[in-house]
Amino acid sequence: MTQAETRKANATQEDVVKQINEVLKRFRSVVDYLQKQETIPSFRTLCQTTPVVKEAFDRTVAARCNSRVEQWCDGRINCAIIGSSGNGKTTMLDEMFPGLSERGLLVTEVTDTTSQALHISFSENQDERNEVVVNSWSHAQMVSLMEDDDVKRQNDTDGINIEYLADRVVVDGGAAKLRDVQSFKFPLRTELRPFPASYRVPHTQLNDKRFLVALTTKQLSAQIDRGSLISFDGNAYNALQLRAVVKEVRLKDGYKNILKWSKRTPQEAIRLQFVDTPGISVQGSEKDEVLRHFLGKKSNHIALQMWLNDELDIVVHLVLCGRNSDFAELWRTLEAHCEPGQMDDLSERLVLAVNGMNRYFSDKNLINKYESPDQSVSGGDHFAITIEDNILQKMSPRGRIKPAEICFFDSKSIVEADKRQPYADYYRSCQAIMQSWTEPSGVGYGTLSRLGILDGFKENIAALVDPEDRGQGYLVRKLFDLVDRRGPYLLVKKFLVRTKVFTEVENLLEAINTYYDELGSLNRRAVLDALLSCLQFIDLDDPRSLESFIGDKIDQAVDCIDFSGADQRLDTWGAEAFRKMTNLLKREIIASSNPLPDIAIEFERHFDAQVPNWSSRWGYDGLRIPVPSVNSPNSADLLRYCLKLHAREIMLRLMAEQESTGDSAGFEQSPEDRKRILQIITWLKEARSMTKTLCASHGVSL
Amino acid sequence: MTKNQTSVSNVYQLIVLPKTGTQICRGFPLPPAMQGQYAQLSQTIEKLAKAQAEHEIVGLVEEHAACDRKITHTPWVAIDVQDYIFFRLTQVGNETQLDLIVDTMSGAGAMALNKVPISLQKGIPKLGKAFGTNFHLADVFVEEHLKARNEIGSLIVDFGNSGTAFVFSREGAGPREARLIETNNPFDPDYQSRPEGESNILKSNMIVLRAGNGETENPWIVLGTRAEELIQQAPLATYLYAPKKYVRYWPEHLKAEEPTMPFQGLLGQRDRLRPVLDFVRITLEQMFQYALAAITNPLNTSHIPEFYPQIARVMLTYPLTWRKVDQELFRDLVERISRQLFVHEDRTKSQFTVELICSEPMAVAAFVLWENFFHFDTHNLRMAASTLGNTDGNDEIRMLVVDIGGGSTDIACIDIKWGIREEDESVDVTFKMIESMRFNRAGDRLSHLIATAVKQFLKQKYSINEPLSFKQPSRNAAFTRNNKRKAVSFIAELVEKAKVALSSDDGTWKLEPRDEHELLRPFEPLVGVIGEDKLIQAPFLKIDHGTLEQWVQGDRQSLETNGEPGFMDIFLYLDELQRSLKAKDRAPHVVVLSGRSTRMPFIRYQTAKHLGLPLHRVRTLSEILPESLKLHNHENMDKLAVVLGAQRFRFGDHIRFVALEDEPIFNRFIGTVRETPNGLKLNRVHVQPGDSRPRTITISVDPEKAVRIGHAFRQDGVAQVIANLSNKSRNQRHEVKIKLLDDFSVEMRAHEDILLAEWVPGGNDIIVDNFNDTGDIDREPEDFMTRIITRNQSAWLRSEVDSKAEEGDWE
Repeated sequence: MTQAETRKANATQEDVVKQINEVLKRFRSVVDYLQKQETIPSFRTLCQTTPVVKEAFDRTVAARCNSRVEQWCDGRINCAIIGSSGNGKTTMLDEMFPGLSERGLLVTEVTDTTSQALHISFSENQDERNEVVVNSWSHAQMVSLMEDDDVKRQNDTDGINIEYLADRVVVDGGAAKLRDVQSFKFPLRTELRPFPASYRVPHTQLNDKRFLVALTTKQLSAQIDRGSLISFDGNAYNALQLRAVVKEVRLKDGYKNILKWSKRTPQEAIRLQFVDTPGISVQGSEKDEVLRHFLGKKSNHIALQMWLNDELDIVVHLVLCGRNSDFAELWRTLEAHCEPGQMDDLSERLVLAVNGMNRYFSDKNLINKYESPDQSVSGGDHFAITIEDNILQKMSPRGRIKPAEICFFDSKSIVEADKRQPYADYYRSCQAIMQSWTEPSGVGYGTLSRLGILDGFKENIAALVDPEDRGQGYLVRKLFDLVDRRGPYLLVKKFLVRTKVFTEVENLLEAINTYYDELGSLNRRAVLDALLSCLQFIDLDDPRSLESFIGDKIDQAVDCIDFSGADQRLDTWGAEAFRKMTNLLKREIIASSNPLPDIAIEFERHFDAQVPNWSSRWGYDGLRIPVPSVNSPNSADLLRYCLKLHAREIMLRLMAEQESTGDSAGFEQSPEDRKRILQIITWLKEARSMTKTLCASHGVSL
Repeated sequence: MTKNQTSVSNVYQLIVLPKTGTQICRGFPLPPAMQGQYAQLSQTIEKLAKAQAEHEIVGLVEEHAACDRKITHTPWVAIDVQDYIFFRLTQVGNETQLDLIVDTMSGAGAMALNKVPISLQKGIPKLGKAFGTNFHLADVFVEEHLKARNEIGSLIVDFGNSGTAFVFSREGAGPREARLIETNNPFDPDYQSRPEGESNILKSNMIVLRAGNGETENPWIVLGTRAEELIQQAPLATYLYAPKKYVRYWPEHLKAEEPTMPFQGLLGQRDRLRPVLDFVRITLEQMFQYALAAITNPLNTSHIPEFYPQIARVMLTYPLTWRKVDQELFRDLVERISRQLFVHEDRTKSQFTVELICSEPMAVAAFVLWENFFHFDTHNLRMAASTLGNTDGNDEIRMLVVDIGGGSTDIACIDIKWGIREEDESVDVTFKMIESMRFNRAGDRLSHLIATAVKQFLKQKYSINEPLSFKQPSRNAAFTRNNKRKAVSFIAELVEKAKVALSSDDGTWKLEPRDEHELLRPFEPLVGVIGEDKLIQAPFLKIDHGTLEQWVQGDRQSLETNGEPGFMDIFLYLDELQRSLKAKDRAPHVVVLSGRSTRMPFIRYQTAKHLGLPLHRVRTLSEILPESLKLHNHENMDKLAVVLGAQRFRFGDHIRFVALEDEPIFNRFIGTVRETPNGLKLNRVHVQPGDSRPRTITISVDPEKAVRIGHAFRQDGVAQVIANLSNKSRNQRHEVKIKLLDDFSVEMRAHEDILLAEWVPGGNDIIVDNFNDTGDIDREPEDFMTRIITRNQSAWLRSEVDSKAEEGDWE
């Protein structure tokens, strides 16, 4: 991305954040205003008397309580790094965030790290950088993990007993059948108690290497400190308990390398936060003693919780070159817990980061792929094997996935240790080979083209060869590009769609529009009178009453609706049929009740005002059922079936409104009340319009 | 046993596969050279049959084989009684044919590569070996499985109390291509007169036809309507009505309470009493054999196997009523049977699994949703949702499935959400159970009420006071256990007729004079032969919807029932459920009624009333789509929806289902229970709705005392017992920790003095609606139902003369 493009993207993003907050502001104001019911008595009465409005408002209040709506959108994008243990994630982070490493907050000399998420965000302020916050699981999350089928089965098998008390979970290995129980350092009975709030690590403790190691790694028995590491809210936590209860550690860093590689300003850098998730498929360790089964599943559960909380905007899947992706395992867990659609847009925000480019020059099988043309023809070239077969095909249980970006990188420390020569020298020797792959006659050219990364790969080579970049910088630049490109989309979707803000704005607006006119005047009493008068022939206490009315008056008439000529009106035939049915229903209601003319007019007005909403919500507008024909003989039956059911639904809605009771004095409206409602309507309309524009501009479907 | 032999004759070969049940081949052709010799051949067979008269097994085949009795035929003969291959000669028009029965589970038919000639030695009343044969009629060849055309696929099973259905889903086949297996009963001479749908849904009742000799020998079992008929002929034979209700895990300390039965066939018996679960296994084995026989030989006319199913996966549904241990017991049972029965090639053998795919109500919901989404198509899901009651225009539905089966009622509120993948217009659907209720009152309770009315009718009109309980001795010794068995079986048959009649919109059931006459036969030792004049005299038994509804309203939990719920409690609990869901803003959009009993209109009405929903939001499975879009067999959809739903749940093509875990919270108040004049109530509440689950609680139990644990929707609402803790110590009070897993299940570590008994609502420990197996009509508690039905006796025990009866239609 050019600097001009970046500037434009920044401006766009700032504007999007501003607009999202404008929508949120209006939404919050509407709800807060309406909740103070004394300010708008007419709405209070309406809620008391009209279930449809009350339900719409209750849903709106529920959406208001969403934590995303509670906070303002700050435009920050979370970038989660997900990979299996042993794929070099910690080493990469160590090189990306040398500041954290120097402070001992990233421990790389051991492979057995504890399962917790590491949030890294940018701060220019040195004091802020010294703030380390530790968050624990909630009680429910601990219970959920303990009740995981595998954990439960393994605990049962080993005789580890679990007690679920209201404020803690007690793990009792007193009667456990574990062969290594003699070497345990911690008590056999362990209480897991969630933190009452975030734990801010005292500065003195931050300089305590012993504490940091115990917090972040699983030490050998001989080295382990059995005493309490922290005391919080009157409860002491030893290292084993911390391993279990800590969910995440939040750190701040100066982004020295990130700023250098991306050439972004601090204001831009602040937008990107990194989340180091614990390795996929981490197994339980004997070092975890009676918590071994619980901790064996903790990693996937952390990723799951973050996914469920919508904390993972961009996903960087890190895989060591030549290894298979284990992402499918996480995918299955996520799919089993997430609502549909949450995984659908993953490919748009997925970056595949392939670690260990040097393996293409040291692994004999891979070398064969590009040095012996026959090999690449028979089983695919080295990229086809390492990227397509090993990763993209295996990432999803539902088949191949196409990531938004693919980046190759390497680690200086690994390369220099393995090759016993300076990084720059080593990669200079490989550069020509890499470049040959980008030539049309080169092995791998086809796969790189197919993956859509040919041009990017050329840039990636230059970055890999640069010992200061190592491809890590390239990865960071691609992340910023993705934020520029997809950031607005991700933010709009996250803050306005997934939070249901837009849906509830529409619902509430519809409910209010039914009972107030465009100037904010309440017409509820007239509507209620009309409904009472026009539906008097229905016995509300007898469900058969409604059935027999529709059965006698509507069903047969619907059976007679003629669909001839529908093939000339492909887009409208369904909506037209619905209008016919509603007109018929309206006529029959009036005929059955024979109201005074004024009442009938009010009823018709109220009824007609709602027909477009029903038509839209129930799918008649834009209906794509094939028109009845020889090839679609059942279409007419299907539509008639819908019309009959919807006739009943309309009656049901009208009856629900009619059932409303209340103080009719409450329907008297003061000018002040009218003015406030008008303000509410204006805010809702603005919120709806702004959201629609934002979604249309950034490709978010509603 | 017959050895392999080589035939030199040019006869036709019936090729069967081992372990495919009892194979029947009707109308098997004779070689052209033997046509026109029926008279001569039949003479030889007649002689042979006389010679085999001593073999009862041949008589059994003669009496029970599912072959046409109306055509010209010879008696059945065996090739060799140890071979279990039987045949008879038939004459159809000018053509002479064979009917053959081959038991592929035992004898010669069970051994691959066996070739058994069907030959007659002229003039000699003995079945010949090949040598010296004058008439070589046919050969039976037992082929190896892998030589037949094999199709890899999955077998989906819905094992129900009233009926069982199978689907074979070929690998790669679409949801609508799945094959519903139409089973054939090999031992049903009246097979031609059975209703068409019965072959799709195999009635689960069983009777032992031939017990067999050794423990390992495959017994001959008759399933379905024929079993119901046979028990009237052979009252002491082992008979199991609605076997599924006996699927229950009995821990070691409760083993002594497990019900047992003798192993008695119409022919033969085995020693000692056996747990009823053994017979459940035998029934299931037989069902699987029926399924294999139906796949390899669908119409009982195949000369060669149509194909052999390589079953890579057996998928099972289960009722919510079953605890985890019961589900696992069932899975293990099926796995054991499958591994013994199915012959796998190496690939499928290594992949073979038996899976509990989903609960029955979940399967019903999947069926309803799939069929709707399929017909509406991906573009019109908003419309589909609105017809299922979500008129808000968003992509979700809360569907409450009320599945009133033969023995239990499962109620599940499922939160269904979906998203469309734009790239291929496929739909991802998630199911999350947000509430469930399990209840051991169901259709059999209605049967019990009607049976009580029949019994009361006999008492009122004919002064028949004898108890029908099989265990209770009769005051009149001439009224034997056989008579009781016949009477109870016929009452059960009448009840079924009544339920069918009452399932129509304006149905009424009346005991016809013909049936009344038949009903009285077993009572002849008590009342003598009743003349037809008495039959057309008052009173008459006539039950209509209103009467049954009134009975149901009286059948509810009270002090009189010792806290055991009745059928009405289903609706009362629906009422509580509705309040609870509404309070959480989770009221269901639509209610789907499944199970045959739900065809009775009053059930729909009561459900709607107690859920506060309009009638169009409460639909039976026959009302979920317009007539022209319903599946073939839709009249049996109450039963088939489970198996087809399970199949769609797993193989839904472009509509993919994922079951999400239930929310890990309690939905009820849970605590200790006490008895009050208004039923059971919670005493001390340990858990409140919304608390995370599981939860460990501590309960004190005094010496030689018991504490009941129960749940309720409201803190002061009526409670249902879920477990009982009893302390056997005489002097020591104990505090025990028990783990509440969910609203229904508890766990406790083994304790020296404290015994935990889990209860399933409705009484899983005492199965009270199994009068068919025990003859105990209205004894839990004694005369409880009689008191209910006599409240409106004039409504059903009519005194007016029935015009039809006057016409004498009983003849």
